[in-house]
Amino acid sequence: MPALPPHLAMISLEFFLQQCLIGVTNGALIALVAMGYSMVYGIIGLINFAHGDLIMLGACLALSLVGASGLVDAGPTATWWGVVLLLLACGLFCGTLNMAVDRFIYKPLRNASKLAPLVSAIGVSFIFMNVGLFWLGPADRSFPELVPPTNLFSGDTLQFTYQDLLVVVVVVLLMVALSVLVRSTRLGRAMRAVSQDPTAAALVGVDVDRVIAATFFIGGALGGAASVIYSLYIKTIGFQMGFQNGLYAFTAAVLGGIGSIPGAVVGGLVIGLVRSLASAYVGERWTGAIVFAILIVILVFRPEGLLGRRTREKV
Amino acid sequence: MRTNTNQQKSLAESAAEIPLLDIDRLTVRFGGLTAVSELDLEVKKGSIVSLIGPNGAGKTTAFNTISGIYEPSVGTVRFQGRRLEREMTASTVWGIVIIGLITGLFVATAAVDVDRLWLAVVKRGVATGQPFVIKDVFSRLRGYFRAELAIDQFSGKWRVVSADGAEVLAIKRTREEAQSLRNSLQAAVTARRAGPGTVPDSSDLVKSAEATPGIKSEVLDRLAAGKVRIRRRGWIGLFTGTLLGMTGALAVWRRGRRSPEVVARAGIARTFQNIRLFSNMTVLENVLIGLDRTIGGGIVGMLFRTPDNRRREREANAKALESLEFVGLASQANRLACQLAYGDQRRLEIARAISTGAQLVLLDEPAAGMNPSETIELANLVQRIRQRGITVLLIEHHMNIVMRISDRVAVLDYGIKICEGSPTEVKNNPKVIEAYLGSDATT
Amino acid sequence: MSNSGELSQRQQAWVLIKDHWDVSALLVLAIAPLGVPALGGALGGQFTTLFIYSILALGLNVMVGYTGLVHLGIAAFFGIGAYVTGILTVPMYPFQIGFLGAAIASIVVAAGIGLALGAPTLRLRGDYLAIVTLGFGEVVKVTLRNLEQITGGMKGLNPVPPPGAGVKLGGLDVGLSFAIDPRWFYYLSLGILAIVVIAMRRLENSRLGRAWMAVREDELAATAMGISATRVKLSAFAMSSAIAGLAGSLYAASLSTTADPNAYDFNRSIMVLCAVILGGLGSIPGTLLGVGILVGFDTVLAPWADSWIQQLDINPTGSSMLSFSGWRLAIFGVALVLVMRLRPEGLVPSRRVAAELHREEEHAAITKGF
Repeated sequence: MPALPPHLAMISLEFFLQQCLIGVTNGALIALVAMGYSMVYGIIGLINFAHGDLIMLGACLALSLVGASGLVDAGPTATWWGVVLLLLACGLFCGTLNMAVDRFIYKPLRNASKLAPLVSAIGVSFIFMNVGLFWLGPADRSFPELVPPTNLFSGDTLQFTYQDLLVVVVVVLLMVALSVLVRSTRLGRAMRAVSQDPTAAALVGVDVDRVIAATFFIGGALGGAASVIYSLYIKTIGFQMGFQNGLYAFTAAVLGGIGSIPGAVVGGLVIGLVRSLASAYVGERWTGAIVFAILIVILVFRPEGLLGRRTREKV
Repeated sequence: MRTNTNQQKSLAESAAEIPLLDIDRLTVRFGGLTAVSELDLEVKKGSIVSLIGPNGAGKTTAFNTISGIYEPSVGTVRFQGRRLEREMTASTVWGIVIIGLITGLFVATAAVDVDRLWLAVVKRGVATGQPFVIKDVFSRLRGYFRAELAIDQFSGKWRVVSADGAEVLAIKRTREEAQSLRNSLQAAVTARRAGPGTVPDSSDLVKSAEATPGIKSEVLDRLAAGKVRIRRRGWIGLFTGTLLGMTGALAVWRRGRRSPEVVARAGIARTFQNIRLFSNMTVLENVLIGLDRTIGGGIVGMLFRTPDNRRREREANAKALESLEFVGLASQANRLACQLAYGDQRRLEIARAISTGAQLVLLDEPAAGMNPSETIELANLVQRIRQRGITVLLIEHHMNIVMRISDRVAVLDYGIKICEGSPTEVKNNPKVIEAYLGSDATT
Repeated sequence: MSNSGELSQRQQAWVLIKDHWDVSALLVLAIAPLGVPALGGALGGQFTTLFIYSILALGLNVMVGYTGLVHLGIAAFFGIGAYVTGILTVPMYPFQIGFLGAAIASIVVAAGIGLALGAPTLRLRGDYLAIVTLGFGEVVKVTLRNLEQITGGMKGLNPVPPPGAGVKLGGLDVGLSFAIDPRWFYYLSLGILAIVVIAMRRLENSRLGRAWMAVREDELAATAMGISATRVKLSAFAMSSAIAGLAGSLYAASLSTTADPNAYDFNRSIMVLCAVILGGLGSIPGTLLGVGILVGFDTVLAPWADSWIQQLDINPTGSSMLSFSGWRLAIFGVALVLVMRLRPEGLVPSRRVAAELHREEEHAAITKGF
């Protein structure tokens, strides 16, 4: 088959598949962040504005750890173990930080009006950004390439590298772990109970505060993992990255049905695909507008999101 | 004359036969739980009907369904013989069509590249020093969509440019030269668009065009293809956008078809079991919200405090005070609703409900948390509401009120109506006793 | 005796000023340029900016304060106003209709776009609106940047002519006066601010304002009383957008450029939101005070503190950690968190919102007590 001329390459099947692959990988990353939003929203109805910036701080820590450990020059096996350790360290860090923020900032506002925690979350996001500014400096920093960008497919029509594989594998593993946790553990059951009705859950002996703290920890830990994956995959981090990522991830959470974890995954994949296809076929600069238009369209037809349940107001 | 009155009379009679509120086989399910099951209930105009039953019997769910907060899973609720749904009127259809067209135009503008459209319509005129007139807008728009070539003046020279002026094909010294080159190029482009062979003399034109230095046939091909592409994009954008806008508007309209607002406007007002006042507004303002629809007047009147606006507000205030007087809260008119005592808050809810001009009010446990003397007062209030010609549907646990003032009583248990009748009938019904006291009590 | 009498007189005067803070402030601000020559210079320009932000914040207050809807993209409407004015007045384009027409067009376009955005989204849950407005803010910024032929891309549109360009009033060239003497803009924006304050007051106590508040207090109860919550929210959205558009129009005229699209990003939206929350939701004096504090922080306090730190010579490496403005985000963040924790009703609370926020606390205390 003769090679297509460049201006027709866009309509080839390979090109399309390639964009889909990129979209799925990006979407997995977005889904990971979106799950953090969705979990916190599901349990206390708070749009955790600081989640994107929490991930930025996770990326800061990852960069510092990589710099301090000299992981860049280590052999391949050591690097893989290093990545696992990074995931654990950043997960622990972000989870603990998220839990601490909940304990000291959101918890006293549980009975306040709905606006109060939201505004506080915006405030926390500012504080995080300032910390990130001091940590990274005002300019973007590049993250060392720990995972080789070796293509897994033979030939160069399709590109799917170890980096892509890492993203997909980690996200799938975390997703499975999370759904097992929510479905079949005591904590998961308590979480579902609290998200349905905190008062009733408290009455039957669930320690609501602990469940909420655990949710914040898990959401934050997912964010920490996301920060490592993001750094390894995108390889550029900066103190303002939280806002953009947060925006896409939150859009994904809303799109899939906020509060629903499978919804966050579906929303993330949809947004990842839309982004990559739009930037390939329409132009990079219009991707934001297209994602937004799709969000509006979906909300018009399904206000509860793709997989969300319709909520009934208690009267 | 005579026949007319007869007709009116028969109309009135048939109206009397239709119950004010007619609930027919109403079933409400939440997931697997059936909160109300096949409830039949008729409420006659001018009566007081009570809905009683143990906690969790589905009384409030029935209320919420009547007032449009929940959708019935099965069954219908009719008010004055009509379903409580927004009707599709001509203006709804027009609204949907207009929203669709606006969306379509928006999508089409985005699809044909608004940036270049702007170049073609606005900026080129500036470049040639032409004044901006509406007539030109249309001809330039047409030129853009046909991907026509144009000439313009630029620093003393004349140029042959694409319709949006973004691409300069040639520069000539005089207008005539530019014009003739433009014409031949245009013909070449047109010919290419039509395809070789369809226009016999196209090759000549193309040759002459290709003879012009700097213009390659690929450029002409591209220009030719551009027209089809831009128009196709425009039409597709317009079509999909309109379709999307119309279906979207329709979906949104359908969702809001049966809402508390529609029910309230039809003439049913309600109070809430756990008081839902506008707690940080004054007592008077709470009632004014109930009166809102009757006040009328536009935003201009509000901004300029026109005499008309002031008159409307004055009248509304008087009406609101009258409602407050009716429930005995006139002296508290300027306090915040949250500062009222519990019983007063319940009465304020009643005042707010009747001020909407409703024909039917649904009172959800109005005497909850009241002491015996307040309860008696409340019973009198409900009777006075009826005297105003307002029908009352009541949920209440205080049996002395229910038995004293109700014309009819319906008993719900586990979502099923187990009994309906006059207070005495209900009081002596063994099923009711069983529901309230358990089966042991009857044996 | 005389002392206490004097005190009570002083107290009376204080009460008088407090009750008529609006007229007093307006009088002071109107007279100030006569007595303070600096207002004829850069300071006058800063005050103009302050007034414009006040107008913007009052617009946002309609939505966040009165109606209780979180709006995170007000800057988009500000930008739309600025760009509509730019397009309709710059010499680059053939319209050049002058400031008044452009301002009206800005209001209409901003309100129209607000309606178009609100119609499909205002029926959604309140939280969704936050994300929609946030996303819209980003999209507008990026769109303004991308439509280079229309908006001039990153360069923006300029020069936006001053109001009254080419108009001669008794031998006085109005446009020229606006261009050279900041006091003209000072008075123009002060006048518009005063009009907006009056309009807000009237709306607050009208049918529409009541409906806004009812929807904020309890949307379900409001709809059950026959209020069309969607329409009420739409009207609030449109009103917010319209006022933001007006502010944007004034902004472009006062800067004589639309500035680049990044001037209308999330930071600006959040700053205005902070001002409204800090000052007091739903409270006109609170909103004005909030804007004063925030703009004062950015234009007065931060530069002063920075130069002071520089004089101390403790920052030889130029580290941002040791400059005051390096802490700007953190200071805003901490302020937001503290205000929400300690004084959620803001510095100058509106009587109503204060009651609401505290009622819920009391309610919680009572239920805990049981």
